[in-house]
Amino acid sequence: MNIITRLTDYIDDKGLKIIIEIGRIYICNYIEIMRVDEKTIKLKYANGYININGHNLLITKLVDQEILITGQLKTIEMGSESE
Amino acid sequence: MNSNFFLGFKNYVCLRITGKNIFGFLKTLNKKKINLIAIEYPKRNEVIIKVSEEDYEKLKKLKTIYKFQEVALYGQWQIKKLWRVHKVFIIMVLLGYVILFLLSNIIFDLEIIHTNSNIRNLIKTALADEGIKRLTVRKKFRHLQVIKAKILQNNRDVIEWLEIVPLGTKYIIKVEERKLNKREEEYNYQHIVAKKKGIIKSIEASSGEIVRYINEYVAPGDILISGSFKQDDEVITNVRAEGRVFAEVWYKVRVEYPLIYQDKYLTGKRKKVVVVNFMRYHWPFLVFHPFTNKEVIKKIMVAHPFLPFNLSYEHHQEMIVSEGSYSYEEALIKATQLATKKIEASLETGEKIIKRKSLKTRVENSKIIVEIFFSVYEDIGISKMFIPKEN
Repeated sequence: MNIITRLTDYIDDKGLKIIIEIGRIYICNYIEIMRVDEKTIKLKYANGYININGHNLLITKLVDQEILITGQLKTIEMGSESE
Repeated sequence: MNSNFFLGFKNYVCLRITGKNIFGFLKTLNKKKINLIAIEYPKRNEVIIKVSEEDYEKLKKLKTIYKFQEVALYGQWQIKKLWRVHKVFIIMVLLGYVILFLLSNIIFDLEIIHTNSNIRNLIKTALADEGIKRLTVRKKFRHLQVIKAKILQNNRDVIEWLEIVPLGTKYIIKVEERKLNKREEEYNYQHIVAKKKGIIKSIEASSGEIVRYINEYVAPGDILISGSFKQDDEVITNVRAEGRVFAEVWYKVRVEYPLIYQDKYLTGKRKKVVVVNFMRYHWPFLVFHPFTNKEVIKKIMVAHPFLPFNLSYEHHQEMIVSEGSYSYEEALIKATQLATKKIEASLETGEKIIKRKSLKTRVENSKIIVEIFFSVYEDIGISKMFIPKEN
């Protein structure tokens, strides 16, 4: 990886990022929301999908490729496109 | 990622959206690339979203069965809405402020305190020439000091002291007339009379007849050197009596002197500081170790009557303040010296203090209060004109 690629990745990072805090989860660089209800939120990203399971799940922020979900988180599943 | 710094400058709207499948609608908005900055869920079938102006336009074009209603506005929209709703109130407040400012800065009255109408008229004219008259804008303190000095300079033969005090919307002008020394007035025919009571100690007469003697007690108004020469109770000739009569006179002086004193001296350390002043608060820029006690020379850099604050450039000089206290004896000596200075200040050539004695001394509220009796050798003679009787 040359220096320009590393610098570009640093400035405009397109990789998936997940930050989990108590009672909330922040996901960056997803592609689209596939399913939303109070128990499950399914998101599509470049290499597959993310399945967030819990209770009273709510989307509290939804901007360009960023999503903030609050509620009681139980599990987070990640799967590839082939699955 | 979005920066929150610029959010305050952009227009945002909070919308209440009602419908059956709220999550489905949010998914639709996401597909349409509409950014939802904040989402709240007050009820099961209701959501409150915050969107930007551009996204709101997209949302309005969206064909949907979901109802949406504006809840709150932010940015310029908020200001515009506030203006629309409270337009009259804001205009009235601003107008009120302007009127109040104008009224409080206009002088409606000039009150010249003096019994002599000539002096009052003189001062009134001099002030009018300097632009101080009714229904004019109030002058700054520094400007008033300059005007005061100018009037005093131009009328130094007439005015002894002048003070211009701004009080609300009027100026109170206190003036003291310069009075010529009556002792210097001379008449064709005059006696030298006593101006106060005392015991005569010396009489020098260059003309006139000495009618009182050494060690004789005299009361105010008693003739000391007569301008009428008499023989067998008949006036032979009248002259202008001249001479000096020194007598022992008495004063009682009450002096208060503090037992606690403060010594202040400058260390020589200096700082130049830019200060923002707002009402009684002062915020200096980049002063990491401010002086505890200091002497300040202030120069206003930026100020305007419409601005509630001003910017000043200050020279700070470190000052050390130390407190001490006098013993009773020291304070008594200081008080006596002060009283002596007071008496000496009123003495003229040839006059002197003969003796002094402390009458009463007491200490009250950290002060020594002393009553001192002074016996003074003083010229008590004053000219008094008389008109000779024609035979």
